[in-house]
Order: sequence, then structure tokens, then C-alpha cells
Amino acid sequence: MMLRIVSILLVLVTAATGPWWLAVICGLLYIVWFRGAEIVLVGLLADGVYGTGSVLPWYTTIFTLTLLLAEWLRPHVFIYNK
Amino acid sequence: MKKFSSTMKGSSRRSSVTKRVKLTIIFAVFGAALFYLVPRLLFGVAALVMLPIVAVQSWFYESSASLPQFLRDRSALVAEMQQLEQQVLEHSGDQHSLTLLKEENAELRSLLAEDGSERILAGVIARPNQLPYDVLMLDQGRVDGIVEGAPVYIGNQTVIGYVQSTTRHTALVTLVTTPGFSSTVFVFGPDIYTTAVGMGGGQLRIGVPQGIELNEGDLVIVPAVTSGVYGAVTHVESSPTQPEQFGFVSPELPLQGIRLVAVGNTALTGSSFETAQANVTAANTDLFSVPVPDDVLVTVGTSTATSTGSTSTTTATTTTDL
Repeated sequence: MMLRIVSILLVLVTAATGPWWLAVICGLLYIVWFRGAEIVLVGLLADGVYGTGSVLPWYTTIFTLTLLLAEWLRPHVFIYNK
Repeated sequence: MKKFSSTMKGSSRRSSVTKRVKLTIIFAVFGAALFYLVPRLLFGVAALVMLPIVAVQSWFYESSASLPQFLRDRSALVAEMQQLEQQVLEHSGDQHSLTLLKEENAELRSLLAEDGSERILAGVIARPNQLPYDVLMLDQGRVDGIVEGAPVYIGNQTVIGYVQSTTRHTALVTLVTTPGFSSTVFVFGPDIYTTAVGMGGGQLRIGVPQGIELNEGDLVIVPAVTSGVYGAVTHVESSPTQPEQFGFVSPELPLQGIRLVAVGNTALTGSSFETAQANVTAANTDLFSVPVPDDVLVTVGTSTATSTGSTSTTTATTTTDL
């Protein structure tokens, strides 16, 4: 649980301070590791600060799609889950 | 029993996955609703949550305290120190320090406008290479007098964007080079007004018909606000089979090199064509005129020509005004 909190804080800090690609990598690792939906809220916070004038909330979109993709892919890539 | 347990376990896992997917979709829909319907509320909440992080970042990058100064890019500081030591040896120190101070003073004076208009100096704490958006984050906010819609300058006259939103201690600047952002520009060389579209990363793209001679190095200004030169055409993309050609404009100072900016104290208002023309005329004057001391400048109105011969000396002064 502690690792999860530290990881989500790490994503939040990298999203706030940049560079953006590091935030995305941290977010993707978090998704693969924990598959927690709270990452979408973190993306939303980052988009709220920097991207309110933009056409698309990039962090939220990337994290949501990756999270859904991870959920869909996971049963297909693990052999010993049946 | 084993079968029952196995069935229950699979069912539980499926249920957990469904729950997570539902939660993700709910968060995404909720986020999209906030983002598009009440962006200001979202900005306010997000800025509040991010405030401690931004404050620490600002302290780390901008503070003159010992610890952040020590931690800040140590290798670069060491290299700079060695270079400075070398220069101090070469120029006996004081002269170099004086030059640096003069340059910094000139930069600050330039940022704060010489025409007397009041501007607010702000440090840049986030740039496009750190963010997926073409925006700048400044370390000055509402309490420092920053207002939304105010123009943001580099140098004396060059506008690079406007303040999109503010918090108490920070401000977000949308750049004129934000993808899709359109602005009217004047191009010296062909001497035309045209529309420039932002490409991101500090680049503008101007599109003109093939017949117009567009060259690399042509200076470009954004006359709607000031007469400052935004940059020069660095690349022309022209294909004879296409009806138009494109010029790509880069700013004089790269975005990554911007450390300080100046923010106007009032929001931008609409500009007329007459204002734009006046700015273009002012730019013409500024670009091609240099302040020359009176004792060096020779003009028709005050020139003195002296010729010395072997037998006589003649001095002729012409006072014809042009």
C-alpha cells in the first residue's frame, strides 16, 4: 500500500514538474503494476493545471486508454490465470 | 468443493476487473465533463492540489538559497565556474563583472519597457519541453498583479503570448506558437500582412501565394500588439506544383533559453488595422535606425566639409534641410 501511495505521488510530481515524457512513463508503469483507476484523477489534475486551454486533456486520455487496454490485455498475456 | 472454489475465484476476479473498468470509465467521464464544462473550476482545484509541488519546484529552480543553488545542475555550474575563472584571469575580474552586470541590467530594463509602461517581471518555471502543452508557467500570480489576458514579452517589444489563467502565485501563458493559434503578422522583405499559424515549440508557419518572394531571413513582427520583431523566416517550403508556399518562423530567442519574461499590467484589447500599421512603421524606424552621437553623425543639415590645399584652406558648411 505504501509503495502504491509513493508511486502515485511520484506520478503526480513528475506530471507537475515535467518533463512530460517522464510523467507518462511513470504513469504507464503505475498502470501496469497496480492498475489503479486513481491514475486518471492524477492525469486530470495535471491537465487541469496546464491544459485547460487545450483541445484534449492529454494526460487523462493517455492514462484512461492505457488503463482500459491493460485490463483488456492482461487475461490474454498471462498463461496461468485459468 | 475444489470446483466450487475455482468457480468462485474466477467470478470474483471477473467482478473485480469489471469494477475497475467501470471506475476508470466513471473517472474519465467525470474528468472530461470537468475539463470541457467547468475548466476554471478544474483549474482552481488542480492548482490548489499542485500548489505545494509548484512551490517546491519554484524554490528549487529560482531560489537563491544555498541548498537549491548547490543542487542546481552542479556540473554546469562547475563548468561555468572554470570558464569564469579563466575569464577573470584574462580580464582581471572587475571588468568582466561590470560587463555582466551591464548586460543583465540592459536585459531587465528591456523587459520592463523603456517607454514607461508598467510591466511585471516573472521567472519561467515550466516550459514546453517539460509539458505536453505549448505553454509557460510563471512564478508570479494574482497577488503580484498579473491579470488574465495580459500580453507577455521577451525583450522590449516582442510579444510571445498572453496570460491564459492565474492562481495566487503562478500564471499560465499561452504562446502565439500554440498549435492552431492564428495571429496577424507583417513580413519585412515582401512587405505583406498575412496570417501565421502556431506549430508548437516556438515555431510559426506563414502561408503566402507562390508569386510572393519569401526568403529565409525575412523579419516577422506581430503588429497587433507591439512593433517588436518576433523572429525571422528560417525555412521556406515551396513546391512549384502547389499554389502556396510556407515560411517557418523561429523567435530570436529560443523558448528553451527564456529565463525571464515581462507581463503587461492590463489585458489585451482588440487592435485595429491603423494600430497595426503604426506598429509596422515604428518597427521600420527601429530596425533601420541606430542612435549615433551628434559629433559622429554626418548629415546634410549639419555637415561640415573641410578641404586643405597647398596654398589655401577652405571650410564650407551646408545648411540645407531635407
